[in-house]
This record gives sequence, structure tokens and C-alpha cells, in this order.
Amino acid sequence: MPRPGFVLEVDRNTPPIMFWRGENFSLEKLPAGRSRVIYAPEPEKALDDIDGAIRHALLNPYDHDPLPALLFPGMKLTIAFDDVSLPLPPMRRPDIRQRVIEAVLDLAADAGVDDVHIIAALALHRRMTEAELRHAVGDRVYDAFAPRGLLYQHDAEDPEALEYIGATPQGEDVEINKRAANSDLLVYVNINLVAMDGGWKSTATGLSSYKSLQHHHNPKTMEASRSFMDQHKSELHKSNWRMGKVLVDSGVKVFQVETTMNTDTFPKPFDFLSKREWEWNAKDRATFVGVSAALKRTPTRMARNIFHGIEAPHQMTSVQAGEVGAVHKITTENVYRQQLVEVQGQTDILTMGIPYICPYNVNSIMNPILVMCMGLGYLFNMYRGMPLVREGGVVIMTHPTPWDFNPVHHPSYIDFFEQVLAETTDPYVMSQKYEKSFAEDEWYKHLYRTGNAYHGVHPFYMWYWGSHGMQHCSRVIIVGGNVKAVRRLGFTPASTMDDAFEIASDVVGNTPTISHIHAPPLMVCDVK
Amino acid sequence: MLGNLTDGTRVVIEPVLGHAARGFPLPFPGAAPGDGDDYAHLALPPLEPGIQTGFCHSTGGGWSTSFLAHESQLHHVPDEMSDETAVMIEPAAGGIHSALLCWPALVGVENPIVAVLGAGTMGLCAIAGLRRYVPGVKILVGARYPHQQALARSLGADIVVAPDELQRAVRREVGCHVVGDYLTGGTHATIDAVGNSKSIESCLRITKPRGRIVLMGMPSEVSVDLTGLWHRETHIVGSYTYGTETMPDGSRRRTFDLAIDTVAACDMARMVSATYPLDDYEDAIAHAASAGRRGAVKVVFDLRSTKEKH
Repeated sequence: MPRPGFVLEVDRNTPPIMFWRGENFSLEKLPAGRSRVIYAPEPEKALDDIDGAIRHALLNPYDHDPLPALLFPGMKLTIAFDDVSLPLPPMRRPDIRQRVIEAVLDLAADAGVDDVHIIAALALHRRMTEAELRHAVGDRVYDAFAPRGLLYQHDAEDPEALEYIGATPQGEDVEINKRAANSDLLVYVNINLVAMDGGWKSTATGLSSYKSLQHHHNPKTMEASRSFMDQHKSELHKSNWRMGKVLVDSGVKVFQVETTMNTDTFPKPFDFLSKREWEWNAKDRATFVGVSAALKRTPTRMARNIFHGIEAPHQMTSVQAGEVGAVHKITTENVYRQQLVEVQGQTDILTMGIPYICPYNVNSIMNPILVMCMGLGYLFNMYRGMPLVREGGVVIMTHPTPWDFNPVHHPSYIDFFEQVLAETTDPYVMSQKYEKSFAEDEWYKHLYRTGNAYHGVHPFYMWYWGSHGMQHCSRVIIVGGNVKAVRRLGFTPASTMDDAFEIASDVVGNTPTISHIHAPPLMVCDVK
Repeated sequence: MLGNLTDGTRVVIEPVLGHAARGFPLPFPGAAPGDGDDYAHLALPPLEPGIQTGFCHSTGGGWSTSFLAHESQLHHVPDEMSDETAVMIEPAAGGIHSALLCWPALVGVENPIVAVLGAGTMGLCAIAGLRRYVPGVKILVGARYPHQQALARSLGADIVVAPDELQRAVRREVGCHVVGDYLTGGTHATIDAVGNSKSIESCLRITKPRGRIVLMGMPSEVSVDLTGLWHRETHIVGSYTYGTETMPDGSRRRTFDLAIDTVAACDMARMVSATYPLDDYEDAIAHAASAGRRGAVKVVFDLRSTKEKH
């Protein structure tokens, strides 16, 4: 029986706590008597028969006919799947998506369906490489479909490949992939790593275009989503659900397959990263000392390669299929069952170690904008109820925050950092003044469509992602970051955690209460 | 150079030793010292060789309490103008000349874009010239130091970035693509106020095909891959000092007259960062050589008290 999440009240006997610092980590002593550390629940047991569970889900869906009953010869079947941003870290082969897609294809073959397209639902994310696609769908599926042009990636800038479906009562345009819209059945294969994923966000976001996305990926909606992990209090989700209704009303038939995963995040020798520090044995301590010392001497690029080479042992804990809303309700319960940690009240300061990876830098660089997004967009939002830090409190992150970008993956991020953030960090101002020009820039479109670049508007979305956190906190401090880069973000640099507490004292006084969210592994704090 | 005539009149010197100063007929009536397309007068008596006051044995130069100047080189300074403002007239004239040399590439262009590489004294003066005399131009500037960036903005630059960000800024503004190291489009004209191999290469990369590069910084020997110039048919023109300008409206003006207006209108006295007595010339040269990183723009000799001693 895995242990649930745990809130450790720090006392004089508490050992130093491990903080992520990108491609390294440090041990930090938190003040006794007023600090707490929130640990994720231990990994749930994975399903014993994953393939059997998938088949069972396809044959016994929620509020939907079984998949075989929906398949018939001559039909158009489209299978869409979540892209490289999920799961994190990438999982060991076989990937969940491969298993589900193979099961769906088996049933389709049995039914005599031969018009099948498989689409990576990447919205405005970068196109996946062949290796990444093979990892996600498996060699068998890739070799059978990709060479014939039947496995491809959604192109949100190809007007010929998009179909305008209609608008919500709020005037939100719904435009999705034309093949998906015109199929007799769209099977969406999801990985629900966090409670934010899945549901109508899969289709209405993953297969849509800027024309649609701009209605919910904007400062107003993001700031009013409290939090992304609580779909009933998330304007982002409400918008996607409204769009989902438009899709259903227009006749788009979606068969949703959602999966959840446990929090078994790091393989040996990095498994100590998931443990609670006071439970580290001598080997764990030695590994930590050895690894962190070695990483200090390792060139950044090599360290990055080491970490991005990690394939997580996490595995499927549930799979459910059928009608989108019905499926997602169960999926969300399953995610909460694995990740929810009850926490009492807020504190003055929230500390967080920013790891080497986020959804948007798989096999890439965690640039400063992504550091901000990971901290204020993701970790800050890992709550239900209310944020871990009080309004007007302080967030302290640890990360080297290098002034470094992957020009292939993040070309518009470079320009955003140089031009937009040099002028304003206000999400509303930048959205008015710059968003359109970045979204419509032909060069960014070209790189998105033909290379492996995120869409031109994507850095804006990353910034908006943190808008609730920015609005909520009075100060954000980054420990150990590149000073110029941190200042460009509008944050305050600090060289040590003690310095950060000293700086924060201007806002929260000399004896602030502190929460440290010890993630990853991922968790959602149920703050009462 | 700012000084007083023997009768006490305050003047600035247009240092080019032109036709009139050397006793040659003017290339056209009313020509300025820098005008004309035959430089034979530079090589022939009665004056020793030398293109400017300060580089000619016959005249002496500004690093002294007195020197010789021809009346064709003199421009009266308005009484209300401070010495600090007036000392900026000559560099301002150089910047304005470069700015107006961009004009042929901008004629008929709906939204002209000009980039300026470098924001030392001359780059800043070029920015001021562009803003005042080239209508409707959007100015992008690559400036290294924060004080240079601030001055560039205050003189009218629209977008100011670090030099290594300029190419991306131009691309964004123009909305073009990138092929290899070159933009597919680019600025209509670029002023190189640095004048070395790297800056010339940068200009070639960011100036649109068949655009114009105005070389204001003195390049001396450079090593530049000119393949881009060749296949983009880029025009490179030198920009030496000043003379008589053809304005965008077709009228003709002396550059120094424009500069006298400009230094007053743009409060260019603020660009004079330090003054030194001549005796401290080593410190002055060291300061000027590291002006950017020391937060300075223009470093000048102040001989006013020196003169009184003699």
C-alpha cells in the first residue's frame, strides 16, 4: 500500500531539503518551526495487465457504444494522440500511446476499416522528430503509417487542413483539424499526467489553431483559472468545454481514451530524488553527493543530455474510454487519488526547485521563459482550493536560469525575451501590443510548419500561464540564476537561499512561514 | 572645434580643407569645403598635403590654443548657444550627412526602415539626423551600453537593442525570413557607425537586397566575405564629413547649418560627458578610447582657461 502524500513540519532535527536546480540540485536548510515540506504520495501500483485494461476500456466505454460498434468498413477513422509534451519525463517503451493505438488499430482491422489517419495533436507545439514519434507510437505503427503519409502532425497553420466548426455563445471560434472534424470517428488517445490534461482540452486545444486558442490562452482567462488543476474553477477549462459542446453539436464524434500514470518518476540511480530526505540511506546520500559534485564539473550540454536521456519508470494506473465528459470525470478522480495531498492553510513564502524539464523543453533547453512558466505557471498552480502561498506573498525558485535558448525549438522565444520582456512583463500589455505580430510572423510560421519550432505566439502563452501567479505574489526571487536573465524576467536574483529569505523579508517580515513543494514527483495540494 | 576669432567672434570650424581654403576654384557656386568630385586640390600647393585642419602642417590643429583657418571653414555660433552645445556641431554634421546619404535608398518607399550599428557619438548623431531630416523613417539601433541605448531612444530611435540582437530585431520589424546568416529582406539602408569587419558583415546581412549601406565609421583594413554583397547587389557608400546636402524635398542645405539647428533642438550638450585640459591629454585619450564602457559619449578638450593663461 503506497503511502499518501505528507506534510513535514520542519524542526531542528530535519535534514536539509533537496531542491532542484535545473540539471543539478542542492540541499537547503529551511527555518525550523515555521517551514513545512510537502511530499507527493508514493507511486500507486501500476495495472498488472495494461493491454487487457486498454482492451476492456475500449469494449466497455462510459456513456458511449463500445468501440467495435462504431467501426465499419469504408469509414474514416482518425486517431489523435498527445504529443511529446507528455508524459514527463518520457516513459520507457512501450509508451502508453503505442499500446492504446495498437489496440484501436486491432479493432479497426477486425472491422475492416482501412481509411485510418494518425495525427499528433500538437496544437502550436513543435513538431516531433521521427525518433520522438517512434517512441510515442512504436516502430510497428510508425513504419506502417508514416511512410504512406497516414501518420503525421497537426499543422495549425495549414488553412487547407483546418475546418471552422462554429462559435460558442461567448463568441469563441472553434476551428480544428479538418481530417479529424470530417472523420466518422475521432479516437483521442490521451495521457493524463496532471489534472489539467485531457477532457475537451484534448481535441479543442490539441487539434485547434491560433484562431481558437486565443480565446482561452490569454491573460484574462489564465489569470481567472484558479487553478488549472481544478477544472471547475478554471476558465481555461470552461472555455474548452464550451468548445467541446460546439464540436458535439456540429456532429464531430469523439471517442476519448484517457490514461493516468503513477508518480514513479525517476529510475535508478536517480530514484533518491523521489525519496524523503530523512529516509535516505547511506547509498542515497553517497549518490546525491557523487552526482551533484559530478554535475558541477559537467559541461551544461552534457548534463542536459544526461537528464534528458532519463526514461521514467512511471506506468499506467487507469484507462477509461467513451464520452469525453464522462471519461474525464473518472480520469480526474484517478489523478487526484494519486496526486492529492491535503495541506492546511497558506504560508508567506512558497519555495520550489525548478527541475530540468517542463512540457516545452523535452530534449531541449529550459530557457528563462520556461523557468518562469514552470514556476509560476505549473508548480504555483499545483493546488486545489487556494494557492499554497498567501496573496501578496513571495515565491522563491531555485534554477540557474541561463540566458540560453534552443534556436531550433524556440526561435520566437529569443525575440520575445529580447524585445517584449525588455519593454514589459505585463501580460495584458504584451498581449495587446505584440501578440498578433508574433502569431502572424511568416518566418515563425515557416519554422513551425517545416522545422521543429514552437509557434511564434507560444512564448506569450507561456508568459500568460504564469499570470495568476504573478498577479497573486508580490515578489518572485530566483536563487542561483543568471542575474541579467532573472532581471529581464522582472524577478529578483539571489545568490543563496538565505539571501532570498533576507530579500523576501522586505515583504513578509523576518519570520515568515514557508511551504516547500517537493516536486517532482508531481502532486496537487488540496489547500484547506 | 569651437573657438574665437581674433575679433572675439565665436565660431566652429568645418575642418575639411576644401577648394576655397587651398585657393582652388569652387566646384560649383556656394560649394562647401567637402563638396566636389575632384580631390586634386588635396595634393597640390599652396598648403601642405592634408585633408583636414589638424592633419595639415600648414594650418595647425585644434589641440592648441591657436591655429589657422580659412574663412570658408568658419561658422558663426548663435549667441544663445552654450559652448557645450556648439562643440557638438561638427560631429552632428557628420551624422546628418550619413543620415541623408540613406535617402536615395528610401525614395518612394512607403515605410522606410534604417538601422544604425553603433551608438557612440557618431551613431547617435546619425540617429538625430535621421529623425530630423528623413521623413517617416523607422530607426532600429544596435547599441552596446545602457546609456547609449537611452540616448538613442531619446534622439528618436524606435527600437534599440544590443548589437547582437539587431539582426533579429530587423527581421521581426521587416517580417522577412532567414537564409543562412542573411535575412531574406532587411533594412532599406543601414548606417555603419562602427567601421570594422564585423560591423560591415552585419550590415550586409541585415540590409535588404539592393539596399544601401552607409559606411560612416572609418574602416581602415577589413576582412569581409563579400559574397552577400555580390549576390544581393548591395550598395555600399562611404560617408566622409559633410558638405552640401540634397534634402528629401529637393532643396539644398549646408550640413553645418543643419547641424547648428540640430544640436540646439536635440540638446546635444548632454552628450559631452567629460572635459579635459590639454595637459591631461593622456587621460583624455584613455577616457575617449573607453568612453562606452565608462558611461561616456563625447570627451572634449577645454582650452578656455588655458587660453586665458597665455
